[in-house]
Amino acid sequence: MARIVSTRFLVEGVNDDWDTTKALQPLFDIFTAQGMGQATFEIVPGESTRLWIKHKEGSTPSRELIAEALARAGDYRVIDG
Amino acid sequence: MEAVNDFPFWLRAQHLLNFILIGMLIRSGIEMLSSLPRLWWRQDCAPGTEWLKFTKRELPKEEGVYTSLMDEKSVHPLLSLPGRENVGLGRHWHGLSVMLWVLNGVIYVVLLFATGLWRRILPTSWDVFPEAWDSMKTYLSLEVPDISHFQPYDALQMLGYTFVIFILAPSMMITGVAMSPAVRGRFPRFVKSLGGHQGARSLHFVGMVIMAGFIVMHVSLVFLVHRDRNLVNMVFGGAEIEVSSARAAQALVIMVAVIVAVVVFWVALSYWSLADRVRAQRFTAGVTEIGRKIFLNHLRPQGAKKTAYTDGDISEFHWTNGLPPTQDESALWVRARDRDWEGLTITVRDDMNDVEKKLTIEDLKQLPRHSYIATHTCMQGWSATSRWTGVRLTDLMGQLGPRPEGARYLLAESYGLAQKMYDNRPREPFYAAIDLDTMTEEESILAYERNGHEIEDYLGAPARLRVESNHGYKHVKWVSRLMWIHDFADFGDGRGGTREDSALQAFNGRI
Repeated sequence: MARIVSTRFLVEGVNDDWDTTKALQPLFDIFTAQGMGQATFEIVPGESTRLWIKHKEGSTPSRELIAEALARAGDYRVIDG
Repeated sequence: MEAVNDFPFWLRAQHLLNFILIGMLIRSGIEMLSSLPRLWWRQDCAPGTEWLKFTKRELPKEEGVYTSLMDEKSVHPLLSLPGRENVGLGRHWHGLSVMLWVLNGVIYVVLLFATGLWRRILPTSWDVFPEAWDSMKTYLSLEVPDISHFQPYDALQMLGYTFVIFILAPSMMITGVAMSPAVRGRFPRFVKSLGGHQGARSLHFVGMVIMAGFIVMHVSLVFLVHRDRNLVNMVFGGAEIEVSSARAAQALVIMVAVIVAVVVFWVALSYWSLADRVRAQRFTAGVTEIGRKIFLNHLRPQGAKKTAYTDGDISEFHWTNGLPPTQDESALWVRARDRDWEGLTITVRDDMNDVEKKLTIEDLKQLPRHSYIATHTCMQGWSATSRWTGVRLTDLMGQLGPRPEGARYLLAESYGLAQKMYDNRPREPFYAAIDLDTMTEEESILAYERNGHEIEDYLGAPARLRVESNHGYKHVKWVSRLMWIHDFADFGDGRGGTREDSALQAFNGRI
């Protein structure tokens, strides 16, 4: 059984619940090909939004693909991770 | 002009109400289906084995590496109720609509028989079949049957209406309630006879397609076949012997205005719900709780008497909704997992008197062992049947002595974090509360085995809650502690559990 780990990215532009709903859809579209299983946004006022991605140990999520997916949903950018 | 009161006011009012409610049912049904846009006829929901899907996403066949929430589609509020990935509210709107729809239907049938109007709908002669065939041939040749065929309905209408009212509508009710965990726990053979949870779900969908097809055909024929007479009947009740064009025009204007108003109402419900989702949950779950109290709360799982399910029914594939804790969520759980659960404890606690006791997995295994086969159903729609083994919650909490005075609920908390918080704040531990009646049910356990082996990591190792009379969002995985509490309003966002808080599910998860 695969072990599950998580990777954190910092993103800009995802500021409210509607943003998270929009941003998750293109991420879900690329998840299976990337070995990713779950994504969660954490929004803290005054800080960059955190995107936690859970995935199989050994398959690191591609920052470029995640950035592309987020960009398809709106003005959302990966700034760190 | 002599008016013939063929369509009394109650009939027209109920027809309009039915139109409004059917629309709400279909729209909220779309919301629910979009949460897991796949249908199966099997005992499990293995990716790639579905008979129908409404998504292009291809899911990996490997178990435990993705969560079912990633299969959700977001539907526009113009199309679904309420839209935008709100399956919790969709489920409540569906429940509220169906309660009113069934009530409307029962009153309609009673009045139908009380007034004698049933005679013009229910066929009383076998002649209805050849006559219906003649009507069908007329329609297929793009002709219109003469108005003398309609008394007030023709044979084809009689058969169609009889089928929809007395066969299709009850079938929708039967397959709908079959998806309730409380019904499945109490009447497992009934659910199994429908092909299990997935069979009921698929049959419910097929019924919806037939109902939608009937509606399209019904409305089309209203406007294509003797339109003026139909409109005057529906709006004013009695068809004048000679329908004047002015009267027909009045009826048409009124009908179009009503249809527009109903469509605006449907869409307004979506935006009203999205404007304040917590308010919408309070209202809809509050209304539907009446139905749960009357019909479901007294249904207890059969427990040891259950013979409907055997090891042969066990599913090959089991989805999950939420993946195991990771280092950032619980370093303790991760370290214990790597040491075969050495050092991991589960706390049983009396939160009111600040008394607690820590138990290891080995301690749990020393308590009376309880085992049964049950089907897990997620509120999204997937299901899986397993043999679960563990300790009954009554025996487990008995380790603290008698239930403390003032304890009204049992709350289970996880080593894992919520998948999402309502306001997207940093995640907090997943939790769920259950009432005391549910807690004492024979199929409410803290499980430590599935299908005869240790529970897999992704399904809640080393121990998870099982509350078979409720949907899966009550079955907390990776349990860290169980607490007697007085009021769940003091925890989380105060709605009784992580899924109630973030996904606005109902506290009562019996349907």
